[in-house]
Amino acid sequence: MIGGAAGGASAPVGDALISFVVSGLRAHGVPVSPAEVIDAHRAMSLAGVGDRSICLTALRATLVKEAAHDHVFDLVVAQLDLTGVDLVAEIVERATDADGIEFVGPSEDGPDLPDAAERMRVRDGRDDAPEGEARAADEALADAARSLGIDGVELADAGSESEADRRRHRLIVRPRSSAAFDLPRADRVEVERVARIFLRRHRHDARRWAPAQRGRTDMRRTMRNTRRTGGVPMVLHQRSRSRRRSRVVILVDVSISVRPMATLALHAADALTRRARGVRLYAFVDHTADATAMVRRLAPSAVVAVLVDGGVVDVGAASDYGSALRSAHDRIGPRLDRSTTILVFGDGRSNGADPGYEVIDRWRRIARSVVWLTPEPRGAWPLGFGEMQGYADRVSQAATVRSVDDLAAALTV
Amino acid sequence: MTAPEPADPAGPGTGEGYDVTELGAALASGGYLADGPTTTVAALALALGRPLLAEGPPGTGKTQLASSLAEVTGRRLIRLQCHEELDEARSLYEWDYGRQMLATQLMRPQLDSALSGLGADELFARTADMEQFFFSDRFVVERPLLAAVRATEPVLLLVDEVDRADEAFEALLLEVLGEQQITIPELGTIVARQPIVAVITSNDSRELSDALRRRCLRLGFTYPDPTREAAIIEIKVPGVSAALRAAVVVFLAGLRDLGLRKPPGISEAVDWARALVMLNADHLDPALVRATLGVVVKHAADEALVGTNLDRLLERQPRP
Repeated sequence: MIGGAAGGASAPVGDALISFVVSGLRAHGVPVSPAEVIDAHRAMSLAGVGDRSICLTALRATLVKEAAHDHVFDLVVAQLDLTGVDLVAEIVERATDADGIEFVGPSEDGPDLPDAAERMRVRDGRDDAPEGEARAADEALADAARSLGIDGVELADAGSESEADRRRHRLIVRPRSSAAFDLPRADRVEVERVARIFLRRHRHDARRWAPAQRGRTDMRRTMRNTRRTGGVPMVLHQRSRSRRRSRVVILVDVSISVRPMATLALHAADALTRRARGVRLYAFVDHTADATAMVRRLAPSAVVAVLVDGGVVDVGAASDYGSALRSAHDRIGPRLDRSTTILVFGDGRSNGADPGYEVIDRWRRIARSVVWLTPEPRGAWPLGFGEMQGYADRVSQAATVRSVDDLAAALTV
Repeated sequence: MTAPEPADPAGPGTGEGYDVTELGAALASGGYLADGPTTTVAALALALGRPLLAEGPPGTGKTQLASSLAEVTGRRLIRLQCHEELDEARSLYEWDYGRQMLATQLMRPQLDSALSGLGADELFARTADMEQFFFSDRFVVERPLLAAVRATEPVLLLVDEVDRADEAFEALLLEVLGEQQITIPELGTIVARQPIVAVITSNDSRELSDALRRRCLRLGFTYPDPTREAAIIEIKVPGVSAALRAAVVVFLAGLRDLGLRKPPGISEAVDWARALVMLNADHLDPALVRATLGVVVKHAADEALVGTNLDRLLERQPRP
């Protein structure tokens, strides 16, 4: 025993928790071996579930073996409060709001967290509700669960039970899988192609001719320096292509307002980051955080899932472009130069906060180019608290991207 | 590279139970301020007999954790510093060639008389016994891994900066850490007499193999939050004022955000605070920072970067 009180009764809770977390990690493509699961069980039996932080630390130490996978662990755990109570209450509250479904309570026939998941019974408020309404209630419940970021909701009729119980349902909550964030295969291929072309073009542009000890003859310089010798070229000047390492900085707004576009933007950002070493990926809402390391160790859809679900920056916060851009500048500013391209994905809606135009102006002066891609059509830019027009006036290129075709048009033409 | 699974996937435990709170208090009394996860994972590593893989940037207290843990649990610390050329001879064992030669020279007269006039078959039959004599325990030079396996008292094995060694060495570690044994062709398999508690540190300069990761409990180290860093400085540097502590901690936090090649760790923070106390400083000003920057920043490029951002870094200083 190394932690707080555990007691025999909590063992099923611990087991359920382990299998929830393990299946959640695997659903996001994090490999967890059976030996590690055994370790987790041993650690859990020592740590107990009494102390949340000790219990989670034990699970993290035994199941997560790479820093990049920490984000996925946080994501999975965030779906499930240790006792399950918050999760259940939340689902029920939303479901009740939606369609009059009444919460009966955790099922009496099992421990708090059986079957690797939360299980509870929900009953249609009106036992005599017609079939259609009951079905609508089922769907409302499933929607409510889904809106909490939980997939795999299973609504099972309690088959042989009495008529009154017939409308009782069992809700099984499984951890969300990042498969929900997969792009259709054709789109994925196209995104890869766009990333390849964009980076190739960018690399090409970052090459410059520079004076060198060998290489091609630099006629202009050679002739310019002949004045001293009366027009006779005595010294041969040469130049060669210097391959300065090109850099791309990608900033992606992951706030809830751009969620419909976030999957495509993040897949594009992921494809670019994965492709070249000089690419860095940052996510922002009201501040900016580095997400580059994660891309190297996770599948694309898992990267998107982690970013969209707030694994790197809190997506619930209000967008504040001024503060986000300034904190981005703190990170990238010291290394910014003429070989850097900055790519921003965001709707430019700063909720009335300072838009931080001075940061964009500075980037425009130092960097090679600043490209801004927004999901909103040009007509919608000035509406509400939109600052997009201001950004568009300052950057090298601004475009509306709502589909893979738009993306290709913006980045490859 | 995949190594065979250990026979007992659950692995041996040390059978020792450490309460997290007590372990944390014991570490603190020895001058090591551990946060919650560090203490919990250390307690688990001791209880489960699994190696602890401490990963994080340099100067965040990974090596110090191992020595403090050894002290608290009354184990002898055996340290193996990894480097690029680390091989079996330097990590496991080596035959003492010099002493073997000396022994042959000393025994030469007896050997000459005993072996003279023998046929080839007989000669080889006799010398086979000799080989066993020369390749016996007597001529083995213990290196850290063998020392840990053969130790009769409880030991804590520290494999420091494992990412500097090559992958072949990782494979070697798997047998020691996974099965707690070492195989020496001439001597056979030596099983650890005591469960080995191991701490492996890595600065993430190279990807470690999944086989090694799977056998360890992972603990990620980051730079401490300002409160904890100030507390560490308070313990390590007697006579440092609260204002100076706060100033140092805030300045260093800004420095770490700057993307330096070598961001300052806790040890640099402690050294710097010590230097500032010696100079009787009670706050930071640009001249003082420039004069003492060498304690904190270790590369010329980093120094230039700090120089250009110095005003901005000092703006963040807490107001007295």
